[in-house]
Amino acid sequence: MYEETGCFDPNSMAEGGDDGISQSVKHHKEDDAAVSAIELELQKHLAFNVEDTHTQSISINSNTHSIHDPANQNHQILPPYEHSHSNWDSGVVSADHMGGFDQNENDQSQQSFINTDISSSFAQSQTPPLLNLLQFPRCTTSSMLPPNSSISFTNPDHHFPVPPPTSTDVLYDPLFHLNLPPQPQPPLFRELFQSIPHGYSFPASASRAAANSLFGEIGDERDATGAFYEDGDVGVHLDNRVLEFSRDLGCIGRRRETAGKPTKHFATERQRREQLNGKFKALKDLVPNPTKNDRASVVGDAIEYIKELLRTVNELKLLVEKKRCVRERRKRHRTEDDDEGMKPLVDPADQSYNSSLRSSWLQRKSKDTEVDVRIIDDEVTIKLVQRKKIDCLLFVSRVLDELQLDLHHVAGGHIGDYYSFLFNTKIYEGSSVYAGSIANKLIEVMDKQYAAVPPTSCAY
Amino acid sequence: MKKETVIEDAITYIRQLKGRVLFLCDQVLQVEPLEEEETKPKIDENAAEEMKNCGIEEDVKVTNMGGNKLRINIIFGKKRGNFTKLVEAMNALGFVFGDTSVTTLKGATLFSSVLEGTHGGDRIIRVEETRELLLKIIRGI
Repeated sequence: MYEETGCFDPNSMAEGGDDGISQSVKHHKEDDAAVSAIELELQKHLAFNVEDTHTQSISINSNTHSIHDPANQNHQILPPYEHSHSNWDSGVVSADHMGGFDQNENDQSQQSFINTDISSSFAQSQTPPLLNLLQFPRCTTSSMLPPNSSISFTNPDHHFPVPPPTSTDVLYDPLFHLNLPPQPQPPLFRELFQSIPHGYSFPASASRAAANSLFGEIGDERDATGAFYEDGDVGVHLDNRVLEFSRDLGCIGRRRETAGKPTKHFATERQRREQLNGKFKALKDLVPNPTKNDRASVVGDAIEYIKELLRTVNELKLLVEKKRCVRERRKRHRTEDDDEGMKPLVDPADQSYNSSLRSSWLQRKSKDTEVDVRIIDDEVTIKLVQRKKIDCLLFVSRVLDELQLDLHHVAGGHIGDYYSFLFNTKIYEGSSVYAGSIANKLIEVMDKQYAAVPPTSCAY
Repeated sequence: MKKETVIEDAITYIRQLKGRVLFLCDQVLQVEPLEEEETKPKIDENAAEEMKNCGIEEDVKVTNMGGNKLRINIIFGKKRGNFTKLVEAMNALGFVFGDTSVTTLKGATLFSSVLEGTHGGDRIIRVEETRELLLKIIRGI
């Protein structure tokens, strides 16, 4: 019934990937100091003819957030092998180090592998710009790999070097391992990531191995251990990591979606029903006089309550308006009559200000009392039904005096267990009562009296 | 529209309206009109005048209805708070009203009620005594 979203949506995956990359990029910023230190050391070790500017550009590229350097890449189309090698090495080293490399043991043995592979790959391919490799700083599996659906082992016949993974970091190095035919590769960091869904594979372990190996002595670069690289073991590792990654990206995608807007996905139909019931209950709690607990009654009560609220709003608006008029009129008259020392009567013409009739009606119920208040213009009709326990007439009349209501007519009596009264009153001018206030006050007083009076037996 | 959305909309709307009502209530209380006391004595004076004009006098009539009940008719001038005082006084005396009816006309109030004796032992309430009592009350108001 509900649709799965976010998990395997390539767009979100790509976004997830981008986020992961940016995160990894941020991560590697922390290691900048250590990276630069080791880079310098490596340069000494490598003893390559590395252009200072180039190395610096590499380190800059690897150290800065926005990692692309088109200028450099343009120049690197056919770098000399040593130069490219050194660049690649240092770049790889720095990138890997940003990932927190800390293993030195396996490096020496593997370093030769990398060097050999570099030579082989570079010989075969058209030496893709090294900076492409360098521009992929530390990136974890979860962030760098494309979604499952788009990951495909596009070049199954390639041989990918797969030394056993020695660190948890992955050095993203697609170009290196793909042995791609000479095709224009997206040089920029971001472009490459956008091309991820197009089928680049990320033999993480191999890259890692390469990076690790570089850390040791770099004397044996040219040794031929390409045989190691001939192992076709990558597929297994790659698939595993791909699966993990897709799962992670799925989480990222889901997280991103939930962060954006509230999802309405229910794991089960039961949850949906529970939510609906919760909403009905919330509606019932909002209404002041809930009658029954079934859904239809709740909805009916809600309808009545909304109508009542609208009436109250209109009434209050009129009241405010009326009072403002009266106040202004009084002020005006006062200033006028200061000389005369007499107050004029209320000008009947002023009553035309309020042409609309004030009307409102509402009901309130409590345990022992029911109140129905209707107001038309300045006449208030109150119906009161309450259980026969105390003499309500006294309290009601007190309340009416408090509310400045002029009692005109009362009719009431006993009906079974209840007192029932009807009060016709008029609002004294200047009183600011409205239907809600009358009803609430009456209920409050009645309930108080009921609570105060202990249950007594009837007199007769 | 789905059921859920309808219910949600209802909840939101009710809350919104409640907020509006509260806001308007505050406004009403703020815009309290000044000087309403002048109208009060004026109304009372008018009522007394009207009563005189119509020849209505204060009076108490008590009739025995049989059993324990007395029929009471009281006429008194309508003033603000009059009725409350009357009821208070009656309550203090221990009268419990049954069916009651109050009407006002021309500044006079007619209070008609059935009184049931509450005194435990004294079942027979003398009419005259009641009348005197009530007259005193009215004059005192």
